[in-house]
Amino acid sequence: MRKIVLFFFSLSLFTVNAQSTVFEGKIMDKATNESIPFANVIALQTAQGVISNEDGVFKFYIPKNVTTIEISSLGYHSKKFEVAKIDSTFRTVLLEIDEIALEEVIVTNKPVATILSGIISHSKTLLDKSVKLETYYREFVKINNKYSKFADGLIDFYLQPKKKDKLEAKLIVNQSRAYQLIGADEIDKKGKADLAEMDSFFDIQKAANGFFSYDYIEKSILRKKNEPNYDFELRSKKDQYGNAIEVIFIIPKPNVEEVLLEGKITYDPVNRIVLDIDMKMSEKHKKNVEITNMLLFKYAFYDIQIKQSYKYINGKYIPSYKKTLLDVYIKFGGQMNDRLMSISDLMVTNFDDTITNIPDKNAAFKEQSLYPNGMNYKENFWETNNAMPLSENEERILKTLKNN
Amino acid sequence: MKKIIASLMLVSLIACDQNPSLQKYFVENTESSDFISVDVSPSILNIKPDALTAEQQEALKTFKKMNVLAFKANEQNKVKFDTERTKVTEILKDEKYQQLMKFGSGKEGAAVYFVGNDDVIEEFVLYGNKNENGFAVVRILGDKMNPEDFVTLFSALQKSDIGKEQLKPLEDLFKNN
Repeated sequence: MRKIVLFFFSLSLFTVNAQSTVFEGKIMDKATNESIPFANVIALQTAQGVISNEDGVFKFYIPKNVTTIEISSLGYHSKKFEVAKIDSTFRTVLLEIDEIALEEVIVTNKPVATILSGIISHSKTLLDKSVKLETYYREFVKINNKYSKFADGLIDFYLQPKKKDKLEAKLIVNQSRAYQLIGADEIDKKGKADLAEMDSFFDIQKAANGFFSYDYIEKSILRKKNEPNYDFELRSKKDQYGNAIEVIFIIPKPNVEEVLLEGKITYDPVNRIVLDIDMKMSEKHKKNVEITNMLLFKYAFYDIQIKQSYKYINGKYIPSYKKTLLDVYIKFGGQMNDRLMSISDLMVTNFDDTITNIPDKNAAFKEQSLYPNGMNYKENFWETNNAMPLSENEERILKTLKNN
Repeated sequence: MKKIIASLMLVSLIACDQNPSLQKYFVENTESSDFISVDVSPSILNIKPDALTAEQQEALKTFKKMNVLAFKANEQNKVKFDTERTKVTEILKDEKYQQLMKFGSGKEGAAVYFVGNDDVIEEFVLYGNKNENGFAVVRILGDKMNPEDFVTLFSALQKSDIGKEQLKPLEDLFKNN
């Protein structure tokens, strides 16, 4: 470790005046040429960074005083880049598979579920302080299988996890964009609820809460009543730096006739922190989805996907990225009989746990979605503020929305 | 039986104290001809325990009672409809009503609120609102409920004949079938 620190130190001596250069490219597997999504592109000195999109593409505006950038992805050898040598051309970054990262099953004395809940509670304790998360947020909304809405923005989330029993964020929306389909054929069906004007089903006020609460793991998997529905398997492997990391696979029992989740949770066994959560509704259990009658309306969840990751840099445990997909059916009288799907990305571009000023309640953004804020921007923030680039597919969808 | 009534009274008194506005609104309008009001308590539901899963029985235990108040809109009461609807939305703006889910536009739609903390919820409020039909407020009062119980409770309710019958006016109002 000391060697690495020294190495950075020596590098920083050579770089005199780091300008804000753009570092962009596409990250691919060297052997297969497949793109690597969700790879970390991080400025080692400041822990600021971006993540590659589904096509493996990233764009990083290098902050001042940064001398080294590292690109890393679990299971691959990471690569370092000296800022002084980076020019603004779009480059292909090839990562090599780390052969020693192979997984091996671990047999433990303690039940794996108990280990998991210990790791989660320790992670929660570390996150339990007032923080400011500077983020880039975006969401696509699909209504009845048609992409109908898009919004993105630069949002600061102020959170004070311990202050209250419940987690409440204060939001400052610095800039935003919002597009929605206002095709006449979509809304003039008589008696139909105005879908184009519909408030987003997904509450932006709670967009960052998942980083701190791990609610869906604790409630839907680890709760006594639900835990017997799952098998847990612990495997160990080496990360890109050669450190041992452990992965808990959450495997729903096939014979349980309920809607269950499946996926894996990666953690650092030395620091006892969750690094990555990758969960979704179990395919095999989707046949158990039922429509719930709530008297005034009916609903069903058809799909849930959650991916969230954390960084551990210089002893700091930092939320990094969260992707959420929700696929819901709602029936409300004769007016709504619709399938709504939303996919959102929340990228933390900067993290501050030394804040003293929490914005005043009245200054905070109160709406539940970005749509009321609408087109409200000073610059092309989606290009210049380390937002995650849109994938080709997303780019296409947005273009269609803009043309409406 | 006396004991049950006493405990129900106690609950309503507590509810009354903690929740004057919505409670008051219910009391004021229960008798009005524009409103339909239904009260459901577990004792009258008469659900056979073996018809329920263990989970549903547990959920039912946390449930104390349910009050429904629905405004039936027609040609004559349009002005009143607007006034009453505004009153209810104003009451629900209070911070203690935390939103669990919401959908629809500003004018039409439904929302679910709760009072209390995540796993110790003392009250759920369902609010549904439709321009042509009217609006309804459903209060579910209980003891240490959680959102899962709440959903379970609804599926249990649908297994009860009395429950079904009592809530029929509400279903008709929102034509969910």
